[in-house]
Amino acid sequence: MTATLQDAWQAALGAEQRAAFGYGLLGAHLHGSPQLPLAITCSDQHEALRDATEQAIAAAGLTPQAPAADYPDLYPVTSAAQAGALAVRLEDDCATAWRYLYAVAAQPNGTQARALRSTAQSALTASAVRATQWRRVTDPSAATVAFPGL
Amino acid sequence: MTGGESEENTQVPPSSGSPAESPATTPVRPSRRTFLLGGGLAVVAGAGAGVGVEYWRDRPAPVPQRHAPAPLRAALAAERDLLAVLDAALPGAGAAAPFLRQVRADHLAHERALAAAVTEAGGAPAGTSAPPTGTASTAPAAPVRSVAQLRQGETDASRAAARRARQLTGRNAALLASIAACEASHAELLA
Repeated sequence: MTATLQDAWQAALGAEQRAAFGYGLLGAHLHGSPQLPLAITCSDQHEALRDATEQAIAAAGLTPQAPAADYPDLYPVTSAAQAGALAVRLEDDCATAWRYLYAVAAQPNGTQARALRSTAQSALTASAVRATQWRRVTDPSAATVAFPGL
Repeated sequence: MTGGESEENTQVPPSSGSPAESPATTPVRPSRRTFLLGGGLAVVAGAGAGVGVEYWRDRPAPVPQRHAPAPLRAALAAERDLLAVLDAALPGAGAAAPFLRQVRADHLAHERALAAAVTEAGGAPAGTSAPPTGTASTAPAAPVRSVAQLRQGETDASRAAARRARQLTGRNAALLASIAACEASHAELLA
């Protein structure tokens, strides 16, 4: 496995760690909101993907990067509207990280990491779908993007 | 003065080549006018030859015939089909029309990106592009489908795009991976 592919994999893990943290942050502002169940579902999915990615990286003989103690760029979140906007941002950032991993794994002269491509496709698609679920709330007139992860 | 000497040395004698001063016994000697005319023609001919050489040099050399990968061409055809299906559905879509217009805009972006990728990979035009607005398509009329059928179509399209992405490498693979994700989000939007 090339160093570039390892870095892309670790970056995807980093995005999932940040998303899991971010949902914990924004969920506190959705109590009583109809979006709370969506936030909980998304949070659970990101935590599961974070854990699975850590385990897969370790199983490949690599050391998973540790999560940051804090993510100052996610603040402030003081309202339900800001919480929804942050959720969209988190999903877009995860999509970007997984798409990048896909692109690196698909390099014609690099390692043809089929398993990683499959994982990256699933994660990219899942983030695009979750982003649409949030955009339907925050901006229904532009609920989708043509090229998630770009 | 040096400048004056220089000017004098370069000046052409006013009488040079004058017919009155040309001996009648030396017919091979050209007149000044003939000399200048001949020189001018030589310059024009030389320049023309140079242009001609440059013309032939600048003509593109024959390139080996290339073909865009089949999965890429299939993805482009699929996007055009989806556009035709949406164009057929939009007039009677009612409350779903705003969503379908969003979906159509994404598919149009996909179609354009894939057409460019096919052209780049295949070295040949990728055929007729889809129209920019959502009422008329150059594709044959597609059957009108319900929103549920359109949703299923997006799900199927997402899976097909992901499958085609796996058959490619490089940026075209990543492009199709992103398109697959978008089409899954369409299915979510139409749920």
